[in-house]
Amino acid sequence: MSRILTKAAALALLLASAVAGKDRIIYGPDRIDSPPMALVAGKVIPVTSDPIPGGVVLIRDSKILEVGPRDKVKIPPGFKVIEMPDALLFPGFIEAHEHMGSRTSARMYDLNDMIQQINPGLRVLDFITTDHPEIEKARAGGITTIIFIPGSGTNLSGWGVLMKTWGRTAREALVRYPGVLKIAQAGNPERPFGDLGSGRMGMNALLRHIFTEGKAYARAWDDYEKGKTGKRPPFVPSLESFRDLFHHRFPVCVHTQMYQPVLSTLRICGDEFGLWYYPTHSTFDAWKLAPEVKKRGVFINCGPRKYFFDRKTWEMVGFDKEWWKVLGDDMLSSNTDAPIVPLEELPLQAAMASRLGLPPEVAIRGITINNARLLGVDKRMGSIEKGKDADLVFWTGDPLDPESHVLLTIVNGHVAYDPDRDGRLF
Amino acid sequence: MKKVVLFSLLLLLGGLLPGQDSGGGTECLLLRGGNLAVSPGKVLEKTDLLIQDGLIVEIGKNLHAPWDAKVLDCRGMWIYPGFVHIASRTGLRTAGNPNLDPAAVLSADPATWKRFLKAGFTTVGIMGRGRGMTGKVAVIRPWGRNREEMIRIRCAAVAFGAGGDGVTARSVVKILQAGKKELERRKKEAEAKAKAAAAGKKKAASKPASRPSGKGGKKKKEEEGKKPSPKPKSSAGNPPKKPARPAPSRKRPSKARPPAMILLAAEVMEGKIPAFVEVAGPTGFLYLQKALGDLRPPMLLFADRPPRSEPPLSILASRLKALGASVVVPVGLAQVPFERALTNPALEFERAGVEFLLQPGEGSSLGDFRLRLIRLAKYGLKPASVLAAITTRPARWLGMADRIGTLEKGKIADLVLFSGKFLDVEARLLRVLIEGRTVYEFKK
Amino acid sequence: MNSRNKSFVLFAALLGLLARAGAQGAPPKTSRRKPPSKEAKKRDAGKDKRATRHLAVIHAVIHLGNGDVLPGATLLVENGKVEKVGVNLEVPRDAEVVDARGRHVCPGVVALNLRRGGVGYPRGSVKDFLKPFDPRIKFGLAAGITSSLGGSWGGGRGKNWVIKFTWGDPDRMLVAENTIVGLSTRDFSGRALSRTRKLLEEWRKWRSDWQAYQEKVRAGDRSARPPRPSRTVEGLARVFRGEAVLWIENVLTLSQVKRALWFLKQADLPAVLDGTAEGWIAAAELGRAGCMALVYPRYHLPRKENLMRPSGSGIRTPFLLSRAGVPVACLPPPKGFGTGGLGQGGILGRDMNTPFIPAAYAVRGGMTPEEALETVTRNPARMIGLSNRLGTLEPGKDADFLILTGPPLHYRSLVDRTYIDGRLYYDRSKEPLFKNARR
Repeated sequence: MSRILTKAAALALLLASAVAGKDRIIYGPDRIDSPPMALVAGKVIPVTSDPIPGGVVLIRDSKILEVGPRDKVKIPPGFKVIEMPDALLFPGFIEAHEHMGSRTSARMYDLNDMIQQINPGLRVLDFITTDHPEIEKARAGGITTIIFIPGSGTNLSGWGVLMKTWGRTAREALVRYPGVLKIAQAGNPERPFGDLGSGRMGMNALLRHIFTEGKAYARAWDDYEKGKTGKRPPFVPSLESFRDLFHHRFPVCVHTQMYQPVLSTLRICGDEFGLWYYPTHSTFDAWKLAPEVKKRGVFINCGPRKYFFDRKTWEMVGFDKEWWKVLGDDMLSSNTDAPIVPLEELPLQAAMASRLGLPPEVAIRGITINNARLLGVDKRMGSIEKGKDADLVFWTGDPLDPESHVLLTIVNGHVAYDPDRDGRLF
Repeated sequence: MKKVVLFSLLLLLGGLLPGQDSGGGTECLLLRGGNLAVSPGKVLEKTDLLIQDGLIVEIGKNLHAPWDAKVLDCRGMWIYPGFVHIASRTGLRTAGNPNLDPAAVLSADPATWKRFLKAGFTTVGIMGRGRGMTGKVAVIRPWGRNREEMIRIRCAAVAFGAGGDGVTARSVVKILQAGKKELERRKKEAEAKAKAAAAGKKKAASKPASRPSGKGGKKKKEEEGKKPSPKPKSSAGNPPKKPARPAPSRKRPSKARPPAMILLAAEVMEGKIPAFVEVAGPTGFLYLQKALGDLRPPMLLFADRPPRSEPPLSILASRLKALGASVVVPVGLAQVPFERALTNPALEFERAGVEFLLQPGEGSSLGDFRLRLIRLAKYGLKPASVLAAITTRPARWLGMADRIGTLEKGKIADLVLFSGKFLDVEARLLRVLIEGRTVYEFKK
Repeated sequence: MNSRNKSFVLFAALLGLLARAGAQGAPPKTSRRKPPSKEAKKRDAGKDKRATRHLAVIHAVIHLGNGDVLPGATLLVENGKVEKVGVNLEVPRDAEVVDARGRHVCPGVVALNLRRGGVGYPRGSVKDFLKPFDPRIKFGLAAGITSSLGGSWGGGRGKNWVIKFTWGDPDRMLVAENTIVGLSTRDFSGRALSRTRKLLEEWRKWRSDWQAYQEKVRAGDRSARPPRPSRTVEGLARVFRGEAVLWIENVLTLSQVKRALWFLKQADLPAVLDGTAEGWIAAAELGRAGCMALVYPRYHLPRKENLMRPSGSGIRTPFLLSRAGVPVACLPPPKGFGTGGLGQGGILGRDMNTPFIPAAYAVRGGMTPEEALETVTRNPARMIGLSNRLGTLEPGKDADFLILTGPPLHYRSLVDRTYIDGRLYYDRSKEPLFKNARR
């Protein structure tokens, strides 16, 4: 009897720990079955290395097997050849701040639960889809990976999802949950006559509170799991993801703009809690903080505005280039904050950054490898290299140029957008 | 009889002699040892100033004080002519309108005017603001027991508001053109009168019979006893030509604007008094210039309330210089579109050589007036220019250049005494004199 | 002195006097006839004498706006009008020469969606309510916009105007007033339909009266009077006589397009359709009806999957319409955050600070770059009824052109200089807005 009881207790414990682990970090499938293909383009642009004229990329099972010039890479038999001699082959673009991952949030519903300022229990994992018109247009615009996050109506709006823009199931499209923790620090969450947390002082106070709580929770569970303490800490579902946050498995995405909120972000997220984070938007005069940002080695995600109108000099300052002057080529990226700017116009955002002074190559890096590094998936995506995900896009020309369009989009080795099959969407 | 005449003559002469007696309670004040800023750019150090009967009678070193004079020790002090406020709305309760007569409706409440005294103003122009003709501009001294005492000039100028669009500008010019026509009409009348007088009685006899009296009715009442026939040319010897009803060439219908406006406009066009025209920025000025065409009334432009997002009037400085126009500008610094630093149009006007006046503002901003002047000087305006812009130039435009504005013999003794140079931050206003009487004294 | 010397001196003096008189008479008569008004004198001081004013832009790649692109060409401007465009042209000696080597020249953009900007709230003629110092004009010049349609035209009423962005120069600003008569497809259905039918009846009556009048005139009847339109058909009458252009708004779905076509067929008038999203489906009909289309290329109308017929609108709409012969004008998205205006509140790429981006998207949809340039220059000029003056760089038209750092449709091209009527109104190196854009 006692043995059965012990077994039952052991089972219960197992189940409990399994339940405990259920809401923690979930990774999507690393490899998906996909037919072997050979993509031949007029020029292959891997982003992290020199362009390859007449290049070939071999893919199978959603991974890139080989990249190289035509004469170096032999196409094995059985590989379906897609040849576009006038096209450029780019890696799929990565978007680090948008709200279009589901049908409902794309219609501005299911975006913001705006009762409390701090909502660690909210997440968007449960309604991601990849078959609504906005995501279809995004695929037609060459975007293959997105961070789908709740809106900025509240200070801490929830946990976002890093996903691909195509998948036969939602699970297939998933890359990582939580993709990021979403925090909004200026503008939208501020409410003039609300409860505690409506002004910036209150928001910072609540933020510190939740981070302290989360850190303590993470430490308690770490100690328990390592065996340092015997008593099992209480299980709080909404704080579970803080454990991985404090283990630096994914970043905090902080919607913040203007000088003062960016500075407070650097201090709270960086100096006080030592988190992995990236300020997104970072618009207006936040570029004056570039030396501080560089000191902390933080990535900057810029947009959707691409200029700061300086009233003292009446100058339209393109602040992407101001950030770039201090941060260099590798720490800067662009976003759309869809639906403010539609997702498929991510290359246009990079183009506008380039218009006001950012070199076009840096702008392209900003929407490929830099975003991948910013999100911690640069081993899987962001450039055309052996072993990375087969997210590739054929363009008729410079993708930043609105005149060029997409001829074919491949996500996870499958054809996700083909104008002949799906009609010309963008 | 002869004796009476002689005696009265003597009395008269006695009255005309320089007053040595203090018969009528005349005050005599000697300010000893002060630094006199007699005019912009000219300073007399450690000089005495003698005031008698409200006028400055003597300026010089080591003056002899008359036996009944009060002596004020002004060593170390700086004495300036009282500042002149070119146009204020204070004391008016109504907006500008064509019939506005500030001298008739001004409030004489001393509390209202104390601020002006504390800022150093001894003469204030009162002007209404609005659109079209906005009334007369009166000149007062901000001190007195009642309105009549305060008024110095009932109508020193005529105020207009030309706005920022073409319709308002044209309405202003229409009034001025009506004034010009009135002048021409008077001239023609005068010529005809001369001709009639020269030609003899025959014309004078035939005129009243041929003209219906209703034609010049309104005008007849206003003019001080002019002839009944306003158009002698048309009536000369052609009675059968006229139809039964009044001549169809008459331009003004009976519901015309009140002739008082036209009379004022006529005075302006004659050059007797200037027009104070408020323009809303360079756009307003361009519209006004276009509407004026060849008309050249003596005009002071008020650009002291610039509309937002328009550059200041100084952008047209060269054009204004060519026209010989004068401008009133606000005394504060502001940022203007496409300029980096704070600026004031006066700086640009000085560089371009355009005459400018400084508008001190109203109400509570009077307290900062001197600080704003100091800031302007710091930004590059010459102190002589600053002083001229608040003394001699407004005095001239308000028609009192011969009586106020500088410290000269024979001018009214409106003075302000400072403990240092008036553009010195640490200087303090110690005393304000209006017509020789202390109206404000700084008490610790 | 003796008499001979005296006479010599006198003779010399006489010569001198004659010479002086002669010198006075030497300048051409035109300078004596200068307008006496001081205002004109001030404006004309230095730059604009009565003598001809020449400007030449040389060595540029000139996009004419009518489909032609001439590399290494010269643009000659005389008195504010385009005189000639070509290669190896002779430049007049007194011309102001601008060397645009490595630069592109194209006609100035005609903006159709800037309702306010440069004009106040007019209580009378727009000429009296201009705002020549509006900072938005500077933003427009920096963006490459030289003329703009403004005001309102709904319901057949409303004041509208076309102004040029001549900053600081109110006399040259106003080009035309009330050239747009507006209607909406909302008038063609529901309760308003009966009113529209009445309007059409009156209109037809007026048309037949007009026909009769024309015939009388042709027959030589002197007493014939043109029929006076009632207020309701006045706008349409102006469109008929060529004094205005009819615009129909709220034309998005195919049913709205069809309703608009119905009205136009009944009224027998051409029109500009504002929106024209699903109009590509009926492109051939639109072409036959003589319509022009105002298109927002990035306005996306999703396909209706429950319908058998084609539906939806996307990036290909401008191309499909122009292929059917419908002149197309492209604009940034009409709704949304930060779209459509000038100044510093919008999002670059979606507002009118980058008016060529919609044309670039039209190229994405299939148009050629020359056709796409027409969508922001020549076709908008036609849609406001001023194609005789604006929109292209052809002889006789107004010299409103831009000098760009690169091809006009490229996303990196900035406007270096903006000329209106052959006068320089914006120089990037002197204005603070984009002076440091590439530094």
